[in-house]
Amino acid sequence: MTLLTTHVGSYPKPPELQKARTRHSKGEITAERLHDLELAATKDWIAFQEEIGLDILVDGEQYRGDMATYFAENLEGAEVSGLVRSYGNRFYKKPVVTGELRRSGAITVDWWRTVQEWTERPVKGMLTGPYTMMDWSFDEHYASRRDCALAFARILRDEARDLARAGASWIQIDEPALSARADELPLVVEALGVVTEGLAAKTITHTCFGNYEKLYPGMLQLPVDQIDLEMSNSGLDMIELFRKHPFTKEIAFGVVDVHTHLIEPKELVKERIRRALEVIPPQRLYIDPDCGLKTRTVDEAKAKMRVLVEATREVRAEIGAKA
Amino acid sequence: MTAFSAAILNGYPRIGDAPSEQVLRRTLAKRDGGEASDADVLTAVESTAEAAIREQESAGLSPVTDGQVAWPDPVSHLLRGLDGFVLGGLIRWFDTNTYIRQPERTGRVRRRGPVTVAAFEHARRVAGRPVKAVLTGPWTLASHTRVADGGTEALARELVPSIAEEVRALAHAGATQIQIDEPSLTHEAALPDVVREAAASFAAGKGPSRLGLATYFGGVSALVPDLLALPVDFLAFDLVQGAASLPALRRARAPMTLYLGLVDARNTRLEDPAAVAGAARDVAQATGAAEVVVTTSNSLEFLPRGRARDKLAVLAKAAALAGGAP
Repeated sequence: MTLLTTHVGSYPKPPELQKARTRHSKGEITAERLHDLELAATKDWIAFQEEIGLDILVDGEQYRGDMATYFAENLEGAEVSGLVRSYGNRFYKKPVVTGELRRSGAITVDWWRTVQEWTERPVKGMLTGPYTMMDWSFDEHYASRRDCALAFARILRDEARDLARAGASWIQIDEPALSARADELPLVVEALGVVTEGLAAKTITHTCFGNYEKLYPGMLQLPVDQIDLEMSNSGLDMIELFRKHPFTKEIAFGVVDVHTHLIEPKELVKERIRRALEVIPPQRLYIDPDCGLKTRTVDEAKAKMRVLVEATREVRAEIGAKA
Repeated sequence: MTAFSAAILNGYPRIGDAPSEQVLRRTLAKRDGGEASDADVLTAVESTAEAAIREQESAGLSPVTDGQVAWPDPVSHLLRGLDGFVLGGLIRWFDTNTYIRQPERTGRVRRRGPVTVAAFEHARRVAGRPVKAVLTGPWTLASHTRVADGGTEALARELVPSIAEEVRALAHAGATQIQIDEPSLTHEAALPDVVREAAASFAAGKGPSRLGLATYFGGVSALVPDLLALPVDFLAFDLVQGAASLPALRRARAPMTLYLGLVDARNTRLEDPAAVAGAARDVAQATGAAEVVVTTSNSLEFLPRGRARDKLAVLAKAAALAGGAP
């Protein structure tokens, strides 16, 4: 199987779900009603991914707000902050670590199990990595960044094992904060290693929007089978790095920019895939968007994913590969 | 005898958890949907800036800033007033979980007109205390720009005249303090020549305004002697993430005002004002600085509004304690 298509994680929430989340936060609708809407939206995204022929699916994170805060909401020793700005006119809430971190039970497993029952295709288990959880949290408790990262790592190790025991064969542990501080790559490797060591699943990490020149080839030390990278937003400039120092792991290669309303023409996406094939053999090349698509409209996200899958299918035919 | 005061370094949260603190976000969203005009956005920006100023004033801080509430990011805000650039994809702003639109240099750099002066004039009208104007410096702007040829230093040099014009315009508008932010210096082992040239150029046009340079998101140990030799009236150091600068700073004599970034603007954990005051007094004594401003390590925009207000109180209390208040 070559040139498999997948997705990084999030899809946009439909307007009715967005409104319901706001109403729920104001106490105007029940948690059960919100959950029903989250299930319905998730079912729609699974159906969409099957319809377009995506190979490895995600649940779309319709029940999550921010990728770090979602876990903080479900941990002892963590709270959620007020709003802070991300970029432009986008704001989010951050975890606040106020005490010893503890997990009282599995956080993502019920959702994964529910969604996997709806499809024959593999659905990724999705976790936010320990370094990113630490870096994106306000820490009022631990003595050092390492102590905090390793506390998150122990919790995520247990969560990952629960996912694997439930049957998840693909587990993605996102580390977008990895790109921020090249000097802390050893800590990322250490903390991620706590999560992935001995894990009975294919392991993936996703990172994005950083200065990879300082991280590459060091990032190949990350203890995962596959690294998922935003490539299009940065003009595929990592390809030149890959020419100098071959990329030795599997790669999920971002071929559509998630921060533009424009839908990439199919020919452009095909060209990006061909460029990727110049430096990565098709057996190790997966095709996906740069990052989660939650900031796009539903229509934009669907259009981008359709182009991605169609372009990949045509390039597969060009090179005589089979999905 | 050192005079101690308190002020924020530059930015302040433009949003809070109360609906009344979310006017700017709502108005920008409405404009995106065609339901609000540019004039509506300007009104929202000005009311948000005024609220930021009021919160600084209520805490007893001086000078105040407009919180940079209109800035989409520290790079593209200034470059939108210059020819020679297009804005591209998002890149992370240092090691923060915030982003800037990365500029690409496409042609000759030329300033079309003032970028920050109108916001400064509004802040000055509504503030009851002196207002500090803040600009991102040429080294940091160039360091974040994709440059096809010539490199960062050449682009920074080309940016200097345009920023000098902005400095002159702010001085003409009555800015008592103008701060040039150069966080990218924290990545440098030596002070680039162009930073010296820029400081001289800005100093030549500042008139009676006090000119300063701020570094943050890290330490600048190796640069401290050269920074202290710049023709500026104040220097700001991040002494949280850049705590490594402290020994070098303590070994130096400071002929100018020091802004000491001792209050962490990236973590909600609250400092003990007495400990902050002690650290400020220690640096003041070691350097002989006549004036020390206790400040935040970097922009307060990285914190939720409520905790940013708490940090304002820490700043004010620490400055008072450093100055000998009981």
